[in-house]
Amino acid sequence: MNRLDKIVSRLALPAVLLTLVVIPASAWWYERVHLPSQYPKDAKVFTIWWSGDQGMSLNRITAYNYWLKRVNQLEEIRVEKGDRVVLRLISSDVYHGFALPTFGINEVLVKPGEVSEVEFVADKLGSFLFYCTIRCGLVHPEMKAKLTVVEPQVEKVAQAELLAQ
Amino acid sequence: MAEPVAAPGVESEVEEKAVETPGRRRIDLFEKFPRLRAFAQTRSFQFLLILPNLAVFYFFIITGIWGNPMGNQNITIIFIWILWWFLLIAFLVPLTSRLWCTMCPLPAAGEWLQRQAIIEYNPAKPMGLDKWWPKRFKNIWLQNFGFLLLALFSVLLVTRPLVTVIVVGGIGVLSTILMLIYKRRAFCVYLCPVSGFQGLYAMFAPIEIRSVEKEVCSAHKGKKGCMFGAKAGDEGAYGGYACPWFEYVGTMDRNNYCGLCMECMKTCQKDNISLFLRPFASDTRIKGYDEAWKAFIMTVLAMVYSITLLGPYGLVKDWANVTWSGEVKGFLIYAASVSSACLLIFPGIHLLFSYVSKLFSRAQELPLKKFFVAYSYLLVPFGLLAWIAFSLPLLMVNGSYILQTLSDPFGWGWDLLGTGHFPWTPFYPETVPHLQALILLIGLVFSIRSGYDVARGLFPDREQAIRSLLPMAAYMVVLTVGFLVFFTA
Repeated sequence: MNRLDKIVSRLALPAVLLTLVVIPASAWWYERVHLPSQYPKDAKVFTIWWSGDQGMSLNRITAYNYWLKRVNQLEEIRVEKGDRVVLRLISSDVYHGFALPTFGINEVLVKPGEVSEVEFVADKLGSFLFYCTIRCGLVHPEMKAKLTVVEPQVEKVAQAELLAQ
Repeated sequence: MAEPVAAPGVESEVEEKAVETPGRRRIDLFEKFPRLRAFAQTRSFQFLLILPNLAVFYFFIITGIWGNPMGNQNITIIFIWILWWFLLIAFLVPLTSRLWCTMCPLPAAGEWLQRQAIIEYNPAKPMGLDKWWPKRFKNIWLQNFGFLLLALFSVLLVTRPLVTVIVVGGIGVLSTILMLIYKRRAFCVYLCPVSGFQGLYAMFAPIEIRSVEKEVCSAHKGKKGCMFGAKAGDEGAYGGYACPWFEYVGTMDRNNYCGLCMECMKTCQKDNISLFLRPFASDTRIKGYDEAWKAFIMTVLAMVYSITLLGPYGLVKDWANVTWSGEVKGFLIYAASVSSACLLIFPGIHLLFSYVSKLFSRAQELPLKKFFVAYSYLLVPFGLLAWIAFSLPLLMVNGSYILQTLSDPFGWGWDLLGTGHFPWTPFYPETVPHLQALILLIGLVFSIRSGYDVARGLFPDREQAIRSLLPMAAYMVVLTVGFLVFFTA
C-alpha cells in the first residue's frame, strides 16, 4: 500500500463513525442550542408548528409524524403577566394566518418554510383566543388555542403544585 | 480457492456477436494522465469517492424523516429528485458511464462487512454465506420489474420525503443483507433498480474500462487477478479483489455491467487495463430480451413521467397521486395502463416495426428476434436523451428550491447561507419546450446513426443494411414526434 492508502486506511473507520455522529449532532446543536440563544434571555419563546391536516402543535411536525400519526394539539400557552412573549410560527404545509386580537395582532401570515415571529408583552390578565385565519385544511376549524396570562405568583404556585404531583 | 466468474447476461435468451465499429478510435486516458491512473490504482480510490456521498445521503435520510413533510421545503426531495437525478441522467451516465456506481454509498456498508475491511485487501473468506446468485435470476428482469414498480409510485416518491427515505434506506438495507448472503455486488448487478438503467445508458457514454490488448489477457495463463483477485506483489499486482461486478475484462466489450470501481486496475498482473475515451454510443449490442425490455420500459416511463409530473393532465395526475386523491380505482387503471404500455404495447409496436424491417431487408434467413433485440438499441440513445429532455424542466423550473433548501435543509425556517427565503424563480421557463425539442432531435440523430451501426452488424451489405434500417428510422421519427407533442402540450 502506498502512503495515501496507509493514511486513509487508518482514518477510514473513524471518519465513517464521525460522519454518523457529527451530522445529526450539528443539526441538533443549531436548532436546540444556537437558535434559542439568539433571543433575549428574558423572553418566553414558543415555537408553534402549523398544519392544515394536523392542526397547531408545540411538537415539531415532521415528514414522519405528518403522514404516520397525529401530533398533540396545542390547547393552551401559559405565561405570566409582564412576560415578553415570542411566538415562532412555522407552517409544515400551506399558508396559514395567525391572529391574537386581544393583543392587537389581527393577521400574521405563516408561510411554509419560513419562521414568522410575533412578539408582544403579556400585559393583560386572562385567557385569550388565538387561531388560524386562513381556511387551510381539514382541521382548520380546530386550529385555535388559548393564551393564558396569570399573575406571576399564581403561575409559580401552579408550577410548584405540578412539580409536587 | 479459485472461483468461477459468472458473467451477467449469460442467461439472456439471445446472444449476439459483438458489433465492431470499423476504425473505432479510442484514447488511453490513463496513459495521458498518469496521476489519474496512480489514484485509480490506490485502494483508497473508491472510499474517497464514497465518503462524501455517504455523508450527504445520510444527511438526506435524517432530513427526510425529521424535516418538513412538504417536498419543496425539504432538501431530501429537492437534492435527490431534482439535482442528483438531473446530474445523474444528464451528465454522470451519458459522460462517465457508471461513475455513480463507483461512488454510490448505499451498498458500501454491505461491501465493507463482506470484505471485513474498508480499504485494505483482505484475502480471507468473505463474511456471510458467500453464495452464488441464483442462475435463473442472472439477468436484469428483476431490475426491470423493480424499476417499473417504483415508477408506478413515482409521484409519491418524488414529493414525499418519507417515501424517498423508505426507498433509499430500503435499498441500503437490502443491499447490506444481500451482500451477506451472495457473493460480491450481486445486488448491484442484478437487483438495484438504479443500476439497471445506468447499465443500459452507460452504453452511450464516451468512456470505458477495457483491456489495453486483448491478446495479453488471452495469453495470460495464470490466475487472472481481475477474475480471482490478487495479493499485493502477486506478479506485480497492487492487490485487490476479484471483480465485484463479475466481469472478465479480457472479453468485456460493453459498459453495461462495469461499475468502474477500478478493482481490476489493482489486480491486473499484466498492467493491461486502462480507461479509454471513445466516441459516444460505441457499445451497440443489446444482449437479450431483458435488456431490450429495459429499453422499452425506460422509453415509456420517460413519456409517462412527462404526463404525470409535467403535463397539464389533471385526471391522470390525480390517479397517479393515489394517497392524496384517494382515487384507488383510478390508480389501478393508471398502474395497469403504464404496466401494459411498458411490457406489452410498446414492445408490440417495436415487434411490428422489426417485422417490417425484416421484410424490407429481404433476409428471410435471419430470425425476427434478431431484428427485435438488435434494433432495441435504437431506444438507448433516444431514451437517454428523452430522459434528459424530461429532467431539464424539473431543474429549470424548480432549481431555485436548491438555494432555498441549501440554507434551510429541514424546512424549519433556518437561513444558514442567507438564501433561505430565496423565492421560487423558474429559470427561463419559456425556453423549456425549445430545449426539449432540440435534445430530442439530438437523440433521434444518435439513434439513427447507431441504428446504422446495428444494421451493418446484421448485414455486411450496405444497401441491405439501409433497407432494413428505414422502417426503424421511421419508427424513431414517429416516436420523436410523439414525445414532442407531450412535451409541448
